[in-house]
Amino acid sequence: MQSTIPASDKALLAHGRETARAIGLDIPESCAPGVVINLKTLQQHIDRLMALDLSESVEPAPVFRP
Amino acid sequence: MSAAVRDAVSVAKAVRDGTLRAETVARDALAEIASRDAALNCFTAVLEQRALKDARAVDEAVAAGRDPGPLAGVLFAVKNLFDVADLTTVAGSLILRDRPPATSDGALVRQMRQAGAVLVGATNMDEFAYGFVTENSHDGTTHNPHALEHVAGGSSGGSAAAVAAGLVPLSLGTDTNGSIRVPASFCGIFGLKPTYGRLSRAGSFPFVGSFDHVGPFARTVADLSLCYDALQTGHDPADPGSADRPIEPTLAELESSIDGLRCKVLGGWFQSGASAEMLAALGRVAEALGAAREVELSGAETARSAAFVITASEGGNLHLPDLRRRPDDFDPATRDRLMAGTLVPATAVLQAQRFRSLFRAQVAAIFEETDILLAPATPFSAPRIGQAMMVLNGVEIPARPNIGLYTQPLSFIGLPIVTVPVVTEGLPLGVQVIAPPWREGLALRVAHNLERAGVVRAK
Repeated sequence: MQSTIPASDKALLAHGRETARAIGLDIPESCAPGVVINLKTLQQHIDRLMALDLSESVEPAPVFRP
Repeated sequence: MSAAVRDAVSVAKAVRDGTLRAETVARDALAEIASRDAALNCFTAVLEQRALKDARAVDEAVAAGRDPGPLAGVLFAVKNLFDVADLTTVAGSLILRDRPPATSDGALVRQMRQAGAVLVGATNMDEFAYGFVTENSHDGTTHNPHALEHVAGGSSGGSAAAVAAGLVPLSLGTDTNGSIRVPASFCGIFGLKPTYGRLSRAGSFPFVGSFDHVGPFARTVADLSLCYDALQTGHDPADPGSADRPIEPTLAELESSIDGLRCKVLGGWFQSGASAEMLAALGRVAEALGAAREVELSGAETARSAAFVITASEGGNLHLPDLRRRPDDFDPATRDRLMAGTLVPATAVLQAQRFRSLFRAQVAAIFEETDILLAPATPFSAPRIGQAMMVLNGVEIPARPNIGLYTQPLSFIGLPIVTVPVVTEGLPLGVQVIAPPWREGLALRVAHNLERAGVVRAK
């Protein structure tokens, strides 16, 4: 299955695997193509979000109620 | 017409009056499900013994002169992520199948039963509610009752299709990014996603705590309202997201006038990419409500991105233990999406939650000058089963990623929304009637007026 991942995406997969290791997750070969596709989709959404210049007064929405 | 396909209001009235036996209603429906569900695949469990027992209890209450409840003898089904006593809550997965059966009903199932409604079964869904099509690799695909080769929508597809097919008058689903509104649109029925925190999620399997909502489907607005009123409990400490709101009944207000309401159509993002048929359907609803003005919701695309990122991240985190232990037991498409979700940088999730605050404030400002907003529920009608691409306005686009374009930015900030089925020639199309937070009654009233005007009607 590894061969179905374009060479240009291998760095993304390697980075994903490294991050996954930090949370105790193994990404099996059979999952790699699908994970890469989803990482690329997510990156588009993340890019849009991280382009925002939010004021420091904007707090996250969830409110912890003790 | 069999008793099974009558509307909830009529069945409850007849059962309460003693002119119709709840057991008869249940037996008719069970026979109907047995003969028709093989072709539709709405149900993953049919609870014949429980249904008959509960129906007899309703009949006994009527015979004894006790109040059997506002939903006396009305049949309903629930998405199979709701806890049902003595049934394992599978949430469309293989992974949960080896868990023990639920020891009690979930909060909303309990509410329905206390109101006299009779549960007949649990329904099919996308695995762990992560999808818009109900093509489930473990339980099969739910077919659209109006065109069997088309999807019913998802993730609450079995619940929507069961109502659309007339197998039950009411069902319950969940909506995280559109999972009530999308199947309501594709199946041509009414669906209500209440305000975030309004209805208790206790005893339902979670997906994304930040956005998970629960709500009903029905074939008429009166049925939807009757059911919604029965589901309200006020604050439920068993649900961390439950809001401290009073019970606010809606049924008695349905007939009230909507004259003078300021209704507007969402433009920009909420119309780009919609099919000509959907835009025509939206136009008919807008015209009936005198909604001549359009309003832009800048940031809608970013809101969808933020919903996407939070969904992936919270969903991935929720399922991380099983992704580690038994990845092969997931539907491959769900698994790969969830795995990717575990890898989202924390700062992106926080950025998304901060943007959520900003977007909520922006929409609150619009509602200071507006009572109701209108938007398509889906860009197009139900795709064919297995269909990967759609041709829309001459351009080929991927079908599945685009189904939630117009629902995701709105559940992101928890607004109450009724999806209304617009009267159309072809496959069903739904429009979102969007109200300010906690104004479910207003959205239902508008939907009822549209129904009375003949602009919307269950197919």
